[in-house]
Amino acid sequence: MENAVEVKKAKKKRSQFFEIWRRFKKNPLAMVGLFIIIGILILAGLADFISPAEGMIPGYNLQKWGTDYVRQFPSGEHIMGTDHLGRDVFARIAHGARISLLVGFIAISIGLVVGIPLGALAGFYGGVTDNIIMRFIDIMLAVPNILMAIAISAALGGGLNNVMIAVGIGVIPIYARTVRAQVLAIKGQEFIEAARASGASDFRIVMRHILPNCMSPVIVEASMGMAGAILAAAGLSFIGLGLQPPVPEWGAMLAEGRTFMLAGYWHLTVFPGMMIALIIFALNMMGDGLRDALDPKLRSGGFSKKRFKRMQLARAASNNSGEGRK
Amino acid sequence: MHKYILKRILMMIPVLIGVVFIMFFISSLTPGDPAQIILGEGATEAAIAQVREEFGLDDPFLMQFGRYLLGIAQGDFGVSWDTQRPVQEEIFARFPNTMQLAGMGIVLALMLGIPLGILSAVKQYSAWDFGATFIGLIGVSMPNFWLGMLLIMLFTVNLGWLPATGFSEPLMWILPTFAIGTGSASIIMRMTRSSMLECIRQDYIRTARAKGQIERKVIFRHALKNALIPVTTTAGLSFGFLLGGAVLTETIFAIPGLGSFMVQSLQRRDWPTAIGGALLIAISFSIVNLLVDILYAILDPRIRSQYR
Repeated sequence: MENAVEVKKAKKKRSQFFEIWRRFKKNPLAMVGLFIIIGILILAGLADFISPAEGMIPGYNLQKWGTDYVRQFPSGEHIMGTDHLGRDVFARIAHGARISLLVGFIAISIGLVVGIPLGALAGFYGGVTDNIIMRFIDIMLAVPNILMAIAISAALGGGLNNVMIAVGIGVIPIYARTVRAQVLAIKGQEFIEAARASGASDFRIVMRHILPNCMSPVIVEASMGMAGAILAAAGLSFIGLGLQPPVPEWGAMLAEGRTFMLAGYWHLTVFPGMMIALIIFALNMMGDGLRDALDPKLRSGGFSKKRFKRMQLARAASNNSGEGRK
Repeated sequence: MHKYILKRILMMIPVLIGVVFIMFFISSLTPGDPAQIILGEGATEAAIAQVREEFGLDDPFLMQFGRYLLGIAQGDFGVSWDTQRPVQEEIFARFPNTMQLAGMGIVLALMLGIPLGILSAVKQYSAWDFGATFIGLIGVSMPNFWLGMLLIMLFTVNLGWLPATGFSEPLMWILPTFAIGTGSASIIMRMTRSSMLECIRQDYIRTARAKGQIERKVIFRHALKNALIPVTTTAGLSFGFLLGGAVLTETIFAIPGLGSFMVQSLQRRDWPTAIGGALLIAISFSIVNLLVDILYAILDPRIRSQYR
């Protein structure tokens, strides 16, 4: 008897996940985003196998082949060329993928861990609590994100941990606001009243009944927020307040490449920047796709093949019937 | 309406005090002795003690904060730890360049974003729509500092058409404006498109068409007017985003603005300058947001009636 209930439960859960996945994969741009992210994850995983020594040790190639190895343009041997110390740019980019993914992930986790409770408290209790928390959020929003991150990392100093903290603090307001809005919408509904009537504590109501229902927009914001976090971290490193060379962070690589930009060594700037743009593009597309998949009511008007055809048909039909309108 | 504006202005004050407090708190996390930063390496004990006395660095945190606020109220932003000059002189000298850059960026963003958004919405699911959406996606994804570097490489290094650095002549404004404005243009385009699509489906548009109104007027008179209301909010938020983006763009193009100056100050741990700059940016961002809300009320009578 118990088994049957469990099986039924498992089936229900799986079907909800499948339903989301079914909607997600219908969105071609979201799938492109997903594939790019998987590609970058594979790149990060294989970083150590992609000519590790040549990529990471300055001057390694200099000793082996002489100064010809410095700032080579892309070739079959070094598909993204070599930098001013003779290091393979592609190998450095692969190692940089680890850093960017890690920074993005940890920074967003900080934002979620602090932002969700703040938003839940503000939304659930309202009144003075809400006022205090939201004024605090207003203050944080009055200073542009990147500026706040720059100030924090200037105070704490560079380094991986401090960059993650600096960027993570900057993204707290996004989640606090998203969660608060959701909690406000949910807390007046009848099932919350029912839970309260059956004697559930505030903590239980928030944790078991409200928060699980506000996760969809939080997941979407987390995907898009990770793009913003990676961008902010790259910007910090770019101006020299984040990770410093020789760490192969993409922003730091751009800063190094900038020195040789006017001399025409385009590959030192184009490739690291392209990776930043690619990962941001992919995360944004995934966020869009997730929004549509998690909550079909919130359609963002993205493209899907089926919808495209349907709309074309509808357009053709309306053009035929509505002649003379134009 | 006047009452509302006054209330909003008064509400700005605690937020701005909060900004100063947070910046003050962050600055107190800096390891090392501020007096050492002011005097540089190799200062004598006596000199350090004198500077600590002069700048009031031995006072408790809240007392320093209170003194700073009193100074701000009188228009005194303190003294730079780096140059020993009044902070307000330094930041106000550079502020117009930053505002000009952000302003040109938002104008470019509106000029590109709104027409493309309208085109996309009116010809939904056409090649135009797909092209504009795709370009918009790329525009959103490109970091503005990288785009700036690409523009320099193309237009300065390869073609030799435009100067890469400086801000003194109009010709120097072109590349930074594009570098800073493209991202916002994409966001505004997406917002215009979705807002326009929503409006086009409304009943009053069908009524206008049924009356025999020509399509151009239906789009521009009836749909666009309503569709632009949410776009104003997006543009206002974008302006804040641009003020932040100016930090990096100014660095790339060596523009003597507040953003690049703040980065330099922070690299030297010159906190009074950094706090003053952050406060100035927060003030301008708050004012722009207030203006957007007022504009909102002017554009939409339904909102205006709520304010009475």
